[in-house]
Amino acid sequence: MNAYAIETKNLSIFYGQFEAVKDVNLQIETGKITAIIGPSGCGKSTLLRAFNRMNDFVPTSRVNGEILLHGQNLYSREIDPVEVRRRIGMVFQRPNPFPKSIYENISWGARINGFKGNMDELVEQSLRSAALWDEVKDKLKQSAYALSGGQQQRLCIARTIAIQPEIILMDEPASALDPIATLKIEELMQELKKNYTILIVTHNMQQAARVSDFTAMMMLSGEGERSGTVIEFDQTTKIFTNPRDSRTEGYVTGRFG
Amino acid sequence: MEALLFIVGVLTVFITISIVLTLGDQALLFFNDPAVTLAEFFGTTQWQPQAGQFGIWALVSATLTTSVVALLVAVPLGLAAALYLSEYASPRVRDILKPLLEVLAGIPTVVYGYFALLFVTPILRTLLGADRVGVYNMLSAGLVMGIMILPLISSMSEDALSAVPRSLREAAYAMGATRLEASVQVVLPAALSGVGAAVILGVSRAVGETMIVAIASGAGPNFSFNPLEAAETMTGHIARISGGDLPYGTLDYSSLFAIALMLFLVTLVLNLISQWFVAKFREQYE
Ligand SMILES: Nc1ncnc2c1ncn2[C@@H]1O[C@H](COP(=O)(O)OP(=O)(O)O)[C@@H](O)[C@H]1O
Ligand SMILES: [Mg+2]
Repeated sequence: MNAYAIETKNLSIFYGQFEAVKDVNLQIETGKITAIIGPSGCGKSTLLRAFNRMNDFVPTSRVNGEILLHGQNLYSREIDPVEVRRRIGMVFQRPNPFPKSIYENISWGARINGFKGNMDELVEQSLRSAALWDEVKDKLKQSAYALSGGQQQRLCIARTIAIQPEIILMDEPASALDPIATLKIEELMQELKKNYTILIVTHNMQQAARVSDFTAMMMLSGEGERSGTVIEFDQTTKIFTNPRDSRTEGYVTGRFG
Repeated sequence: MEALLFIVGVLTVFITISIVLTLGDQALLFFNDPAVTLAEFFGTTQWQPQAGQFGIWALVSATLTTSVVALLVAVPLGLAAALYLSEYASPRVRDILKPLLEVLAGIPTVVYGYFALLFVTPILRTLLGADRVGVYNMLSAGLVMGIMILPLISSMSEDALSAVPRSLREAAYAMGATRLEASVQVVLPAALSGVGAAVILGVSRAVGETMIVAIASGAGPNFSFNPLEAAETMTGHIARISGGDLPYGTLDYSSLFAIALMLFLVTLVLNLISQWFVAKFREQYE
């Protein structure tokens, strides 16, 4: 089996004529946490959403190059995007639980994906994995909207775990949360990494430094350019202590960005 | 501005109250007449004012039958159209289809009435047998009434569906949902209060619709829930009888107000039921 969970080759992503992401070559390692950092508008979300074909819902969007999942191109004709999204889960910037009960938030995804096992068990297991079980075990029938923002986000992680994806994409999952809730999500990521490959977009440098094994630094590709690209990709410690690119250094030390 | 809005609000309430009072006043005359009793009105199934028989169920049955037929057409088709427009159609297709659908709502009901009588009824008689389906029948009127209500339900439901935040759809798709699963199991339940309001309005339109049933469903009270039979609805009866010249103060005259009051009550009860339904099953999102 291929050592990389995801590999991109000369990947460019367009919105109409606009090339939002240009020429990205990444190798995402299995079982690691990879952070994508960079100033806003440089295409982090666009890149992330290409991995689970979420950009398909933007009618003007288009992809050039390849995204390989275990060596298989995600954008080849015979690939069903629904199947891709089942294998690559996603957690969004703002918690977006379904307006259903806590229990149903977990069970729904499992059910539509044909889960036939013991649902109660799955719900408990998923909530435990998301470090939420103790807080909600007595109110599973209550609306997910009764939970705090941090709890809602962990619920969103739990429902993603419940469909047992191979990879979890997180787009600034803690940006709408307070520091304590953020810390909980970060601890959770360390746990999840044992079973999942995680890609996280964050604008928080300390967070990237704390949680990730690898870091991809994205920037607009040059003066007067509107296209973003990955200017440096390496082990997180390297990126933060000894970057090759002076722009990366400037960004991670907070001099600009 | 606020004062103006307040006046308009008060005016609406005032108008509603005056309608009820007018109806109630005349209806009281009717019920005070020694020839009628409440028990007869609510408990019997013959409506023949000439013979002194005033059993409202003869008219209510037709109203319910035509309305149910209409809703069986309008709710599923209207919802399907709304889901298609809001979840499947490209913006271009939507821009073409939506106005087309709304044209349906602009057709005068008298046209619908003759469409039912002269077009739909002959088809039904050919399909189901002329011996089983009369020239006047509740099925034809109900079906066409359904077509008339459809754009109302679809356009209101579509508004409700479109108001569901995109983040919910994304959540569903990110879980590996198909378009159908996301639309029916996530977006639709989240929009249920709006969709419910559309259905409530549809019910009220169906119960209150007059022209189509007056033309196509039959001119004579008939206690029956069989849509293949002819029967007169409450509205149809009021329209036909008030078309003749009834002397003020007669029992026939005041009976119309009793029917109207009943119509008001039926609509009210149906409204309450639908509101209860929506409150019970809706999924609220922030
Ligand atoms: N749906 C879209 N249609 C057109 N342009 C878009 C769309 N989404 C994002 N963009 C553009 O693509 C660029 C990258 O956006 P995004 O990926 O959201 O950046 P980031 O997540 O790094 O802030 C921006 O210039 C943005 O305006
Ligand atoms: Mg973003």
